[in-house]
Amino acid sequence: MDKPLGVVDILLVEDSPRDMELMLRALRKHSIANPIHVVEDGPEALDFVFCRKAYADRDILRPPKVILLDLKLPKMNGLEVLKEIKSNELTRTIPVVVVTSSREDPDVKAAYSLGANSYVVKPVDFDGFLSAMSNLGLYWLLVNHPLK
Amino acid sequence: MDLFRNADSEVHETDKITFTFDELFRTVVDSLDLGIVVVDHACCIVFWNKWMTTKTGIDENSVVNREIIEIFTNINTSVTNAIKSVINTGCSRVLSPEFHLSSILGSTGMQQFVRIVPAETGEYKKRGAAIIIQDVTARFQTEKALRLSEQSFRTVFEYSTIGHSLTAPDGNILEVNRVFADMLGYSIEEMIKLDFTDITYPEDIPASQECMQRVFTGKDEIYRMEKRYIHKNSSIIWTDVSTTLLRNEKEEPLFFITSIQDITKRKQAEQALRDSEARFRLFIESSPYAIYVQTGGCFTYLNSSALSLFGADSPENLIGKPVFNFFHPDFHDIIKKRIEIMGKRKLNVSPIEEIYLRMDGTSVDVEASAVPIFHEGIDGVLVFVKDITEKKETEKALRLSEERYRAFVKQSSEAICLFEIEGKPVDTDLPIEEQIDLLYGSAVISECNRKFAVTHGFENPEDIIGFRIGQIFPRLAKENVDYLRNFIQNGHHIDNFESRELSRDGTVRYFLNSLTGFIEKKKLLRVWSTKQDITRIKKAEEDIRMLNAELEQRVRERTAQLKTVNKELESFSYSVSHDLRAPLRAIDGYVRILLEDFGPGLDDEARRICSVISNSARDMGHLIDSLLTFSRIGRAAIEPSLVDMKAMAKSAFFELTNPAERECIDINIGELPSISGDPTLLRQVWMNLIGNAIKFSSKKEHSVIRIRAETHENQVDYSIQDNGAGFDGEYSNKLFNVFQRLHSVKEFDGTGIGLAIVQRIVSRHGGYVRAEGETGKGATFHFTLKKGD
Repeated sequence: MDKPLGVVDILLVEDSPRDMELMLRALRKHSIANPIHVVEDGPEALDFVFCRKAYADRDILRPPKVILLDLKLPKMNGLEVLKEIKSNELTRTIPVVVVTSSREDPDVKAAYSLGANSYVVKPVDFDGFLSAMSNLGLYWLLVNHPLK
Repeated sequence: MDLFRNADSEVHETDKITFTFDELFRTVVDSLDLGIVVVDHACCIVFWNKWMTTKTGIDENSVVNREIIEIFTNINTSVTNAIKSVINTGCSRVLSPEFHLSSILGSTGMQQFVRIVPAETGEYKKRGAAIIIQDVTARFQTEKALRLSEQSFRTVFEYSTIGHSLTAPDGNILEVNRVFADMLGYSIEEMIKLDFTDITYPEDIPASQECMQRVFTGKDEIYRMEKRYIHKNSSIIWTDVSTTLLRNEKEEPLFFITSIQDITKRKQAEQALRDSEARFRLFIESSPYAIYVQTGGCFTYLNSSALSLFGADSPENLIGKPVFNFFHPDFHDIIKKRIEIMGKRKLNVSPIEEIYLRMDGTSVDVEASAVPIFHEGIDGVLVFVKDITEKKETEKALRLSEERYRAFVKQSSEAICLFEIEGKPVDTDLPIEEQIDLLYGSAVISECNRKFAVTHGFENPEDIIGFRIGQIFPRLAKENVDYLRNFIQNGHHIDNFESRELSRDGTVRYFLNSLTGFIEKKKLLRVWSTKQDITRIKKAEEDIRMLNAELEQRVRERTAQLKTVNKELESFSYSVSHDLRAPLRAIDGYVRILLEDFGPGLDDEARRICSVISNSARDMGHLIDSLLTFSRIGRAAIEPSLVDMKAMAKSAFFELTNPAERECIDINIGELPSISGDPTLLRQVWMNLIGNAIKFSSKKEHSVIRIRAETHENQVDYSIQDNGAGFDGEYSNKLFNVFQRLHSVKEFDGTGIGLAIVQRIVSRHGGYVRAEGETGKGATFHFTLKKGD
C-alpha cells in the first residue's frame, strides 16, 4: 500500500477486511494477476479516481480498468461514490461493478440508474463467491475494452 | 127599394076617373090631400081643387079655361105630350120625377108624384085628363135618408177594416167585402159561390150552426164567437165573429150579417203567452231549487224539487197540509216572525238557514227565502228553498280541516309562520328584484305558532305578529336575500334552505327553512314560512365532520408512522441481509481457506467439524434469504395479469427437479384454469407447494403427486396432493405459521417459512389456503383464488 503506485487495473472499494481478503484470494485463485488497489472508504476511493490528496501523483488519464465498488461503505456510501465518478466527464467511462450482499438490495436499482455497469452479489458460500468474482474479472479485464 | 123604378110604366084602366062636378064631389075632392087638376081635350083647365089653391095661392077662377101651359109655364113639351097622350089614348101615366110640375109647386121644394089619368069633362063628356099631384116630399125625404143609409152601409161594408158577409139563412154566401175575401185569400166572386161550411173550420161548424140557430129562432139577437176559418191555402184563420140576423118588417129572416175580425195575431200572442207560461211553469217545475207556495199556512203548490226535498211522492201528500208540520221546532218562532213581517209590510225576506223536516221526520238543512204574494184574494208566500246539506257538510269538513290545520300548526315541532302581503298583492310577473323589494315592504306576520315565536326569542305568538319579513330575514344578510330570490326564481317555493342565525342569547343556531307562496291570478297573496331548528343535527354533523377530520388526520399520521416503520423495517432487512451475511461469508470463506491451505494436516474429525461450520453458515444464509423474501412479499405491490396456471405449475416442477429425480416421481397435472394474479408471486406459490410435495414424498419408493383444480362459482380451488410423510391433522392450522415445522430438520430440511410465504401470497390475492393430511398418508394443500374479472 505504501509503495508508489504504478498502473492499477482494478480498484477495489471494500471496508470489510475479511471480504477484501476473500475477494483478493478469489481473484488470485482465478489467475487474475492484474495490479489491484484497495481503498476502505468512499472519500479515499474518490481521491484515488480523481488523483487527489494521497493519490495526487496518479495520472488521471490512466484510470483503472474496472472499479469493484461495495455499496456499504463508511463515511460515504457506494452510491455517492458512483454518482461522483459517473458525473465527471473524465471518469464517466470507467466501468463500475457494484458489489452487494443481497440481490434484493434496492440500492442495486439505484446504482444502475446512476450508471453502474454491472453488479455482483457476494454469496455466502465461498465457492459461489469465487466463481462470481472470477467471472467478473475475466469479463471486464479480458473481453470488454473500456472506451478511452 | 127603388120607389121610382116604375116611372112611365102603364097605369091600369081601372084608375080612370069620371069627374061629375057636383057639390058632394067637390067637397070630397077638396078635402083630399092631393092636388087635382082637370084639363079638357084642349088642355085647358076645367077644374082646380082647393089643395091646388092652397099650395099655389092661385084660385080656381083665375085658372079655369086657361091652358095648362099658361099656368105651369116651365113644363116642357114632354109633360104636355104626356097629357095629350093620356087624353088621346085614354091610358093613365105617371110622370117621371124630373117632369113634375115644378114651376109653381117646385118653388116650395115639394116633391111630387104626378099621375095623369084619363077623364071625361063637361056635359059632352069630352075626353080630358086629370092630373093628380101627390106631395111626396116627406116620403122623398125618407127615401133619401134611406138611400144615404144604404150608401153608408155600402161604404162600411165595402171599406171596413174588418170583414163582413151576408149569408142567406140556408148558408149561401150572398155578399162579402174585400177584407173578408182577402182574409181568406179568395176573390169576392169566388167567395160568393161558396157555402159557409166551405170556409169554416170543421170543428167550429157545429158551434157556428148552433149560434146561427139561436139567432134564427130569436133566442139571441146577436151572437159572438171565436171561430176558425180555412184560408184558401188551407191555413187556419182565427177570427172573432159577430152575427146578427136581418129580418123584414114581417119578422121573416132575410139574411145573416156577420162581422169578422182576424184575431190570428192575437191568438198567436195568446199562444205565445201560454207557451211562455208553460215555459215559466217548466222552469219552476224543473228548478233545482225547491219552490212552494203556502197560503193560510198550508201548502198550495210545490214543484218537484220541493216534493223531493220533503220526500213526498206526489203533491197530494202535501197540498193542504200545514207548513209548520215541516219546520224543525227550533225555527217555528223565527218563521212565524218572518211570515208576520211579510204579511204586514209585504216585503221579501232575505234568505236564512233553516231546518226542515221531511215526511219521514228526518231533518234537512236548507236555505230559504220568501216572497209575499197575493193570490185570489188570499195572502200567501212564495218560498224558495235550497238544500244546503252538501254545503253544510262542506262547511263542516272545512271547519274540521281548519281545526286540523290549527292543531297541526300549533303542535308542530316546526316553527310555522304566515306572512300576509299587506295592501296590494305582489305581481309575480315583476322582475325578481322588484318582487324582493315588495316582499320586504309588505310581507307581515299574520299568524305563527309558539315554536316560531320561541325560535325567535319571544314567549308568545302574539308578540311577533305584525313583524315584517325583514325582521325575520334581515336584508343585510346576503343569504336572506338569496333565499327570497331562490324562492321567487323557483316558482315561489323553496325547500330545505339552511340558515344560520344568531339567537337572542348570543348562540348560533341553524335552521332548515321552507317558503311556500300562495298565488292567485299571478298575484302573490301570502307566504308560508316553516323553520326547523337543526342546530342539534348541525352540531352532530359538525362533530362527525370534526371526528372524520381527526380520524383522517390520525390515519394520515398512522400511515406516515407505518411508512416510517416500513422503511425502518426495510432498511433493517437490508442491514440484516448485508451485515448478517458478512460474518457468514467470512465463516464459510475462512473454513474454506483452512481446508485448502491446511487440509493435509487435518484429521477426519477436524474436516467434519469444518464441514459442519460451513453448512451452518450456509443454512443461516438461506434462512436470511427466506426471511427477506417473506417480508418483501408482505410489502410488494401486486401487479396482476392473466396467469396460465398449468404452464406455471409444470415449469416449477421442471425447475425443481432434474431428469433423474423426475424418473422417480409420478406427477399428474390436471386442467388448471388460468387466473388473474401476480405471476412472480404465484410462481413462488407453485414452487413452494410442489417443492414441498417433492420433498415430503421423496422418501417413498414412488412419489405420487396430483395437481388439480376445481371451479366453484367464482372461485378456483387448486390442490397439490402427495403421498408423502403427511402430517398430524391436529396441527394443520399451525402449518402456515412462520418457522412452524411439523417435521424435524433431520427428517426434512427447510426453513419453516415456505408455507407462510404461500399463505401470505394467497391472502394478498384475496384467497385462502388450507391443508389436509394424516401422518404417513400424504398431504393435500389447497389454495383458493377468486376468478378474476
